[in-house]
Amino acid sequence: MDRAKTDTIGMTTMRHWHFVQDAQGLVWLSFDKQGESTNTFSTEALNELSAALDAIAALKPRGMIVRSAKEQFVAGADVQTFTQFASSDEALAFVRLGWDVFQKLADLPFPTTAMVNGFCMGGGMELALACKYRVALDDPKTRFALPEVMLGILPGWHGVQWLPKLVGPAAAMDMLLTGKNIDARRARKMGLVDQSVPLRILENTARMVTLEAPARRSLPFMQRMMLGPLKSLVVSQARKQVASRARREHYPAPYAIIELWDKHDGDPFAAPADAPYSIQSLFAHPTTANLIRIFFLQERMKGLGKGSDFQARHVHVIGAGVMGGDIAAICAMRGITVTLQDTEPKRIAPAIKRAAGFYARRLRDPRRVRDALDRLIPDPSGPAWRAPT
Amino acid sequence: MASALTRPVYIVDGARTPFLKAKNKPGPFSAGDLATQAGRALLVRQKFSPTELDEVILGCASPSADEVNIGRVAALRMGCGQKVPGWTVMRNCASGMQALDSAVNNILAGRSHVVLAGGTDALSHAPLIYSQAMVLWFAQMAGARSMGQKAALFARLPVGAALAPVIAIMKGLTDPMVGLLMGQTAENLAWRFGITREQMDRYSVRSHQRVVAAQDAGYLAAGGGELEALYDGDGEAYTLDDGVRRDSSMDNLAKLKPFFDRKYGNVTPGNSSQITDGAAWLILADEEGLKRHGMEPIGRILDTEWAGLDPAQMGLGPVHASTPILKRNGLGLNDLDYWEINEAFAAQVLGCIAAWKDAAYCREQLGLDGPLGEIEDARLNVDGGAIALGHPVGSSGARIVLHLLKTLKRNNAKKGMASICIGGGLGGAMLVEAL
Repeated sequence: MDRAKTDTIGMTTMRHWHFVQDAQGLVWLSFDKQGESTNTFSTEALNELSAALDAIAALKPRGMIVRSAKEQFVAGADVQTFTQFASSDEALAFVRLGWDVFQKLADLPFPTTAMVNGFCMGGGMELALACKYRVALDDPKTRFALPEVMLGILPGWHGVQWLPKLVGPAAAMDMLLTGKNIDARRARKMGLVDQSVPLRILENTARMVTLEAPARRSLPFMQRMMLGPLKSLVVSQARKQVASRARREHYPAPYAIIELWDKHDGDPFAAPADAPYSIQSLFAHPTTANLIRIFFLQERMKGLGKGSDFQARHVHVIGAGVMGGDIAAICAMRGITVTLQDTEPKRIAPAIKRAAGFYARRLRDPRRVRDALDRLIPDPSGPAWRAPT
Repeated sequence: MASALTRPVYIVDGARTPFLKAKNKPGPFSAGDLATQAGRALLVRQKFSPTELDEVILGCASPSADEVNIGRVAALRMGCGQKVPGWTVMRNCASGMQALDSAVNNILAGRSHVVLAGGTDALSHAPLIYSQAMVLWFAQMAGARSMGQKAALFARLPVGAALAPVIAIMKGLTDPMVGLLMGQTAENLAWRFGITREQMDRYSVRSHQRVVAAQDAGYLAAGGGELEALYDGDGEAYTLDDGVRRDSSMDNLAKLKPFFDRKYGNVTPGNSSQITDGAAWLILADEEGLKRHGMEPIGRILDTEWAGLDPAQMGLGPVHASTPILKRNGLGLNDLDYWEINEAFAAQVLGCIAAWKDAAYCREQLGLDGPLGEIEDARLNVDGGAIALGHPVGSSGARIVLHLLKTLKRNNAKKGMASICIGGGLGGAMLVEAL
């Protein structure tokens, strides 16, 4: 990078964003949330992004790459912010802010690329969707998801609007209604990202894609039909799927996502405030408060281990039943050497089979499956640390 | 000429997989899988971490195309870490014994103190090889530009060559210098020493019966000290050498037809070693390595020898490799408590016995004054051998050393010799002592 990074706009110092323009005329805009290890969107971070986009637009660059200065891309909106809203109006104002900033990004007249180097969740995914192109780091840590539904709310920053147009309604509804995450290769296959590449060529790929600005491929015929004449069919299918899991009065968010997409193309501000699929209704629902509470409890549990620097290298599991075998399998998947003891080999073999199936689904890459299975060591002879005889 | 080891090299422990007979299709484990599963089971019971090994040496005669340096692949898969060097050695049927000897050499040179060495092969995974005509056709196809060119090439597809790939294992079992199948070299020995079909079959029945007895006694049970079970991803555990036939009999063997010299020969699949998948490992260390980790050795390697002879007589390799060790150490055939001579062919083991009894052979080929004598039956291959267990080429050399040590320990005996014939006209032998 040739020029010094910009972190002031006018008289204002930016705390969470900075950008530089390189010799080729590309602007590299970095999200670097101050004082945090993870990038999340707060009101301040959104306001700064808005100001940065104005300043960058004035430069009339050849293109822009949005990147993260952290180990990961963007975790999403700051959930803490949700709990501090005094009223539903405040909540709505926060959603409005993000909605407008991301629309501003999408309207930029030059090519824009999101360079996704790790998890890309919720608002982070919507930030990526606001760009014309997406280039992902091909690594297990790269994960795409719109998990809002798991908090009882909906993606309010164009996620419901843009995702179906990009990947087709079938794949989009699957992500929107379950909140499940997908890896970079899967994202590439379904068209969510334009390229999935290793770290060594990530920057160069983002640079070249932005400079080349290829024309967007159109969706397959059936997916286009599902956006148009067959939309009602998708809606009724999705409703059926959701209904088979939970009733509306207990869990309104997935129903709201379907209806918002159906009636208003995912624009939450087009929805009447008293409609059951409005942001106000969702925020007021007790399920949402409970789901947010669960989120914080999970975060607290994850945080409990942080004070300790204990790193297990070897775990010995006694009993290769479903419980013991699966604990062993998960430990081995996490990189720990595991010895799994039971009375005889044929009692351990079923656990290895379960692990093989689990790894094939979770890890996919045959080399990673092999490595995890190699770390899961059957130990019918008993305590593995005994001296050789 | 080689000499006895200048300082002690110890064997700390060892393990092998069950030997799984090839069943006309690729078996459930690759050579790398076999080595990894046996090795990790062995390493996990040691007092040191796999990352504390100085090196890993693996013998393999036919690694698959995607794991050519299979020693390194296995080391990484067993959790030895990136910093432990791993390498592969190849000396055909003695690749596993060569790995042990390479470990001995590096230990004697002071380069290594604790080494994991062994052998592996998955003969059931031997690839099919296209003939030169097909290779040429593929090359032209790759170069063809237009659809017309491609269509013309398709019309000239050498159908015979396309449908009849060479089985790599048949190539591997054919001597490149004299053009004989290994079984034909065994026929040579049978003719030279007058070994009959009946003697070969009788020796083969003995091999099966002895493996059955060893299995029934628990010596060859998974977790019994030598074997560690294999596990596949389909819920199966493999705990036994599965090539052994409990119903083996002279009558059954008599039904088999000569395979190598068809119709008129005597060597049949029944009195030959089987095509098998398996791996075996040993941990070798010097005094310093033992002290470093507080380990007790189960034995030590006293001497090793490699010998060359006529490729057409390769089965006598054990005679040529063992005799110099006996001479060097002032030992007669029966001064050793136990012998393991790898059973490539019944005719070949019987040929070795005959050669040592043959005054002319001992004088002319071994430079001895007279015949060396005869190994007592109770000392030789007491738990059977490759005719019943199979001969996963790269691992057999390591297996017989491991099994010899276990036999010596079990019987409170002292010294033994493990020896193996090697396709291409070589023999290898290793003199060991139980501690």
